[in-house]
Amino acid sequence: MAKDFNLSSLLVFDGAIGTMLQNNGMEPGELPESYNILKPEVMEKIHKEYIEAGSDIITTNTFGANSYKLQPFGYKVEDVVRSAVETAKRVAGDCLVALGIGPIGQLMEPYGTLSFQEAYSLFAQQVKVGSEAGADMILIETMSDLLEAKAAVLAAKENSNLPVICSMTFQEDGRTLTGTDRMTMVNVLEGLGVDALGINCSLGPKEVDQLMGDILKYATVPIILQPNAGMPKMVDGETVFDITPMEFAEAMGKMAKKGVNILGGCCGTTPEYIKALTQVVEGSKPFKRNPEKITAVSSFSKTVVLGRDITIIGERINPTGKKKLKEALIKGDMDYILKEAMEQKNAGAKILDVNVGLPEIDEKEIMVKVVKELQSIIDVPLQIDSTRGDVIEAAVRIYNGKPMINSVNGKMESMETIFPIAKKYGAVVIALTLDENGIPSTAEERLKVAEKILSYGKKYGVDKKDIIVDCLVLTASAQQQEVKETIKAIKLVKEKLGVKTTLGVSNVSFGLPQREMLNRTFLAAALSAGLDAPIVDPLKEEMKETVDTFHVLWGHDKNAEVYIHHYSQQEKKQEKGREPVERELKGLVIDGMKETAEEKTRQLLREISGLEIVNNHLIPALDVVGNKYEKGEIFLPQLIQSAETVKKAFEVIKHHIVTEDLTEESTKPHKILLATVKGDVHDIGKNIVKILLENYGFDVIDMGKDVGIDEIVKKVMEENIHLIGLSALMTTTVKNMEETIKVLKEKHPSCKVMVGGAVLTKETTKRIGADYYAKDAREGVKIAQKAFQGSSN
Amino acid sequence: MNALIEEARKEMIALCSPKYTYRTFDIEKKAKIIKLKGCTLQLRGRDIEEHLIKSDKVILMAVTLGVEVDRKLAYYTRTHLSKAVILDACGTVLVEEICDQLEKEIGEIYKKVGMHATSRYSPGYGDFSLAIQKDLLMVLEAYKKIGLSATEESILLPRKSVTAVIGLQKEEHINKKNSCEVCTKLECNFRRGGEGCGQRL
Repeated sequence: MAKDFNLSSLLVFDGAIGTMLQNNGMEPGELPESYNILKPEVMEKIHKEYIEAGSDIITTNTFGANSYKLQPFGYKVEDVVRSAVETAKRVAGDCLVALGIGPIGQLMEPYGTLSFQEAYSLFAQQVKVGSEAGADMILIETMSDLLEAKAAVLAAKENSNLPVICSMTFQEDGRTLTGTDRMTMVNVLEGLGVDALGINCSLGPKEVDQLMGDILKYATVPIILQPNAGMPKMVDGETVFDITPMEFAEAMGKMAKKGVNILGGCCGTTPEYIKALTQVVEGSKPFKRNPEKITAVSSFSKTVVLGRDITIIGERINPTGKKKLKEALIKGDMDYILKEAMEQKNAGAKILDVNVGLPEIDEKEIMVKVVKELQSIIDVPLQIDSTRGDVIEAAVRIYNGKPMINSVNGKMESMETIFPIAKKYGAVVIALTLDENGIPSTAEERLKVAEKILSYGKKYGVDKKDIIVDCLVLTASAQQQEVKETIKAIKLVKEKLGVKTTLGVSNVSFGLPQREMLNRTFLAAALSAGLDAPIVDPLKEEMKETVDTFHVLWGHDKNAEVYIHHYSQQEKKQEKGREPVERELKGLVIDGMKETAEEKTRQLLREISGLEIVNNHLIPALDVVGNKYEKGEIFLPQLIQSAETVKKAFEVIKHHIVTEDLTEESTKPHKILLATVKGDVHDIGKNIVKILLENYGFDVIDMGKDVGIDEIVKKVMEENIHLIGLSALMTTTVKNMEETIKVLKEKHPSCKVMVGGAVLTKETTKRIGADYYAKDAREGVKIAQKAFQGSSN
Repeated sequence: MNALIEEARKEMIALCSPKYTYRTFDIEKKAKIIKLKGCTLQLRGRDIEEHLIKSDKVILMAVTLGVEVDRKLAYYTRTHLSKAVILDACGTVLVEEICDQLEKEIGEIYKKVGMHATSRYSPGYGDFSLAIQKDLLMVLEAYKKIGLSATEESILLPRKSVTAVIGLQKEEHINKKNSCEVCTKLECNFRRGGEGCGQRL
């Protein structure tokens, strides 16, 4: 029978379990969770001591009871977790029992090898056993990776009905080890529907005081705090904590007065600390906070609050009408998509729309891939844009942060599909003011649709702060009369509903000349009507300029500092102008002067063909650089810099030949597959090989790092690959390379394999069955040239 | 190029957040196995045995520059490869320098109580197997304390990280440098004096 309790009341947790186990004789390297099986009486004793000290909630000894940690010791999650919960319940009496869940202890993708789904499954296993065994709540604690915390929260909510508390551990700089700040934690975890959140471990209670500000300010759910017994110090090669129970309790009492209502201790705290804490807070009532409600989206490390100033949403990652992006998506060329993202970020986009809807590809698979890729490299929050609910759900599930969804509309079907997803994953969702009857022509009618969407959202538990209304733009060429209705609607919606607004601005000019002029004027009008987040192409100067000037005129850019900084520099730039480049392209490549080489390539293109530039300038330059490298006259960074310069020149040439594809102009390039093998995450070497191969005209398909055998074999068969390059850095991953080669040779014997990586030698190459050993990238190019020599295209 | 190196050097220093932890153990030597007292770890291998031949205590240490370095490396690998390569090298140098510093500090602490510290010896040196990484980190609670983990393949993550063993002994340690000349891995590509060391990918 579940106990009745309220997480908003003042509650005292217990202190450390690890510290108590050590006091009871546990040795370093021992598995703390083994005590649940081997010595449950010790666990009983520890729980009892905390209960006697005044704890309202005790935590099970299951912090690391996931199968990844238990397996090497020969224990099963089922046995350990069940025994831990039963032991706690035996002595709990009126006390509540929290199922403790800590991090898995592995770095997650993309920096580690643990995938979101694997993490989720490990947590789900703990949750199922723990809730069946009768835990009263789930305490996810000491998390430093926001995505891992998300996996744990989802596992808890999808596999039990218990309340979920989640707390993370922070460093003195206010961020977790993986870079998440407190405001972002609050924004993301609240969205996921946790019942309480806060900080544990980290620092001592005095230091943690500094970090609580944002949490107290923004959290609308109860707050938990379980710090260490002071700051850790090394004494005689042992870690000790430095404050007394009374100091601890007093510092915690202060936090309770500020609004923390669930209090306990982490490393170094014992029943003495909890006893002192109980005495200090006894009889007090939880302090009532008044948190600020915000509309905000987050990446793992950055939260963007809408409505404080103008938030530019970058629209460029959308294949509609973009030939190159379309090609990149079909080919799986993530570098191109990444470049689009980087450029928009640098141009001032604060959120990026991601749309990969193309009939030629598996939209769900590619969407997930693109989101993973983008969130591993850039810290701008993403807006998941699709017409399909399943695509949106797959993407927001693995998204590391609080995403935006584009979009829901007033049609029943849309609301029934999108709102449950927005609610479950805590997304902010864009609401289009259209429904079964189409786009209403008047502002008043669009307001009505917005009202309807908001009220349905409420039914599904989506707060209006998480809904952004898009009043929709009609084109001035076709529906001139209705353009100003949009502006009116923005005003109305903001006044009557108090929500934030967005708008895809550039539709207005469709079908008319000099679109920039119309867009600029329309944007300015929409901004002054109250538009918060225009969806635009930030690379279009006129859009950026309009927003920048608006920031000055509306007082968002205090003292016009940003404006002056940015635009006074631009004046200087314009004065400088562009001078003709006197030097030869070959020399520029050899010296690795990227920008100048780009300019020179542009100049040359006026005189000679792209192919001539490649054959007579770029390739000879690369050969010179390669020879110098071989002789030891230059070093790796210089070789790469030249390779990057050639790449830039290539891009200019490709851009120039929009209609006549360079590759078709000559011959079809040979395809080479590259991958860093399963288990290995070091791939700089592979990337160097890639850029050099591309320089020499090969079509490289880069599968990335930590690539499984099946994936590689599948791709080789699909693309009918004749040469593959595999890399491995460690002796421990060379065995995965060997296995990959074995399967490859069985399934696709005509595919030659070249290998490289720090620990490989000619002998190893032979032993593991590879065809070629590339000691460096230059050698890789020679091997590739040899392998394809004489073969017809 | 020098400007780029200088830029990368500064950036590495700004973005890293070095963290370390260490712990001291008495040791017991039995049949070529070195057992750490009061903990579950054992050290095996001819080379580590040789290194600790006169020691009666050991220190296990772990150092990391943090995951932000990995993130920046991933970023530059995609956007500015030459800088990524330089930054990667800077990270390697930096983590080793921090180890040197920690090693020195530890040496000074134990000098005061009449003990001498050996140089540090890391898994992967000679025949001291990398497979110990996971257990070593567990003993140090390194994931919780400094965010350092090891994969199934014993790769340390974050990437710019080091674990090592330092011996403590009564006699002065004759510091055979951890150089290539004394290493038993004769086939190693990075062996100094061999061909191409420092230029490889």
